[in-house]
Amino acid sequence: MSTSDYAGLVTRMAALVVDAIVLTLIVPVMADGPPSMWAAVTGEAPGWLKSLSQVGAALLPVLYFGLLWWGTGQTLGGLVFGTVVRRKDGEHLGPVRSLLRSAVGLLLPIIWLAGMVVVLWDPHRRALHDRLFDTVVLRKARRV
Amino acid sequence: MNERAPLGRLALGATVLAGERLKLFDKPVPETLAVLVGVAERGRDTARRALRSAGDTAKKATDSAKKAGDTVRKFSPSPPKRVREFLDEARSRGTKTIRIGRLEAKGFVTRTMDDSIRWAERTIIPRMVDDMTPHIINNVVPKLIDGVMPQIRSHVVPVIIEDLSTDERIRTLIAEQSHSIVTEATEELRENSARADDRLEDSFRKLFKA
Repeated sequence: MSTSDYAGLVTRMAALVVDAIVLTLIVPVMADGPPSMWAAVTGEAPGWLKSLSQVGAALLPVLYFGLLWWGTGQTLGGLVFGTVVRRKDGEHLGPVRSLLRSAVGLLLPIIWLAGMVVVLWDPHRRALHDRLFDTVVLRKARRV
Repeated sequence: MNERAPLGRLALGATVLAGERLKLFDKPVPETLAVLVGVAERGRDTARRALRSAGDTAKKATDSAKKAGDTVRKFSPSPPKRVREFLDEARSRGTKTIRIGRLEAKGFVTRTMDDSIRWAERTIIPRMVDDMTPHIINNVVPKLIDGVMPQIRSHVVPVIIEDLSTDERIRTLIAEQSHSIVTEATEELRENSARADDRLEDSFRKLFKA
């Protein structure tokens, strides 16, 4: 595999921006949607529902990245830019590895983004978190 | 065929052609007509010869004819046979004349028609088109559009829209086209981002090597 088979910094950041936009739209809906619907039907929403919605909204980004990397290796941003996350040996990510990768990225976003710079000189275009979790981001072959 | 055809033969050919077109008779021409034409031709030839040898030679000719007649009568076939020969010759001659006349008439008609059409194309039609175009554009077409448009709007357009919207082929075409546009846009986006990746890395390498 040559370097161009791996996604570079621009592509990965662009895909991340797409995912950020998607989450920006979905998270508020998750946080406020159920209480608002409850309130529209029966009046004031109960506290547990509000709390549950808040927790759900907080976990949503982790689940979004984690489950999609585990399932297909592609988030929506990856789908648009044709990138897919795999283990270094080319296998799919397991659930634990993908959820951990997602959680670390979201909990330590600064380190995550700073670690992306490593992509510029790594022969497999791996970021810091890719080295940590032994993953690569591949360009998906074009369908004919 | 530059030589001008005799008028009589031309008329005969034209008559035969018209008869064929009107299905009055089939090809080849009827035998009776051929015989009639042959007899007429022979009569004409005889008349010409007779006129030519008029005058002093008439008497000599009469005497010679009388002598020859006696001789011929002595050795010639019987009258029915002579008549048959005469008719056969007349039929053959008539058939030939009719065939030639028919060909000449056909050529004449074709040439005349071609000339007429060329003449009309050269003189009449351009003038007619020039004269009629402004009238058609200024008067006829607006009236036609004014008259037809409400009908088209109320009757034709809804039917066409209905047909187009329910036609499976059109739907497939639109879906394929939309899919193709999205696919192309995505591919372009991916290629651009890949190029940007490469450029950025090249710049980075150059910067740090320097």
